[in-house]
Amino acid sequence: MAKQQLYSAPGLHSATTYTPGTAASDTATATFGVWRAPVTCKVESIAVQFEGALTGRATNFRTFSFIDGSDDGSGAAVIAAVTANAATVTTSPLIPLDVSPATPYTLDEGDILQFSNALTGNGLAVPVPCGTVTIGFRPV
Amino acid sequence: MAKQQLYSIPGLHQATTQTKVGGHATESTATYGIWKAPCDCEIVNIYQFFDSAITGADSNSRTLSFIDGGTDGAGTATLTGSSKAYTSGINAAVTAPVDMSPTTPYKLDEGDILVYSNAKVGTGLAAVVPRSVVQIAFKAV
Repeated sequence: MAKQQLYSAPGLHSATTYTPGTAASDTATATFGVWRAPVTCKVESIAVQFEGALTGRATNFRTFSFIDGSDDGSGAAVIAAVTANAATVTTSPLIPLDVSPATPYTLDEGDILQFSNALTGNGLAVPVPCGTVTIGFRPV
Repeated sequence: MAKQQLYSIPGLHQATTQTKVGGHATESTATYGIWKAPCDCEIVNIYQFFDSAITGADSNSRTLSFIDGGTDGAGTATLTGSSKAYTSGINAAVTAPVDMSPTTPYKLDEGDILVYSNAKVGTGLAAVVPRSVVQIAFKAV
């Protein structure tokens, strides 16, 4: 029988992981592995619930991305990204940031999902808080 | 019907938990529970995603391990293969997880506590051991 029978169940499965925060508002760009795909799957949704509020702004901001890090973390293909370069981009402890891919993105079993927290200028007004990430994925 | 029908489904199940950041570089060995087995199971994989990099060193270092704490956390059996001594040349990056999987699937009973040990060797590493996310793959048995 196949190794991943749980993932033979059709429909959307869910996983939860976490992203680290930054020590300062102008902490340099950093990329972290956050999840290892347990099965070949299509990632359909990603939501980041930060522990504190963030509001985007022009010139000095951050871009939050999720990357297909391949099986060794060396991949660089961006799956989905939100650029917090306008005040309309906001998140609070009650409102997660939707960083879902525009179309379902296929990860192979063992691929590393990475979170990139990229600095532009001096970054946002406050340090980026830790986040809880909820991933919706469909085994394929 | 059985209590744990979800775990009647064969194959690997996943759980995610965390380890806390060290207090300071020279802090004493810290051991604490991070996960309670929801059913009788075999731990097949453990992957550890660190918040910051670790650079190993000889003489003064850290050994990070996963332990079968039993039902009360008092157990001390290290899962064979799920221990890493961060000596010189043994490092951890942030872009990919460290594979801490047991050499062979390790049996936990329902209710057993998976314990994490951050053990000091000598005076410890130069930097604090970072927080980590731990992704566990287990097979219900």
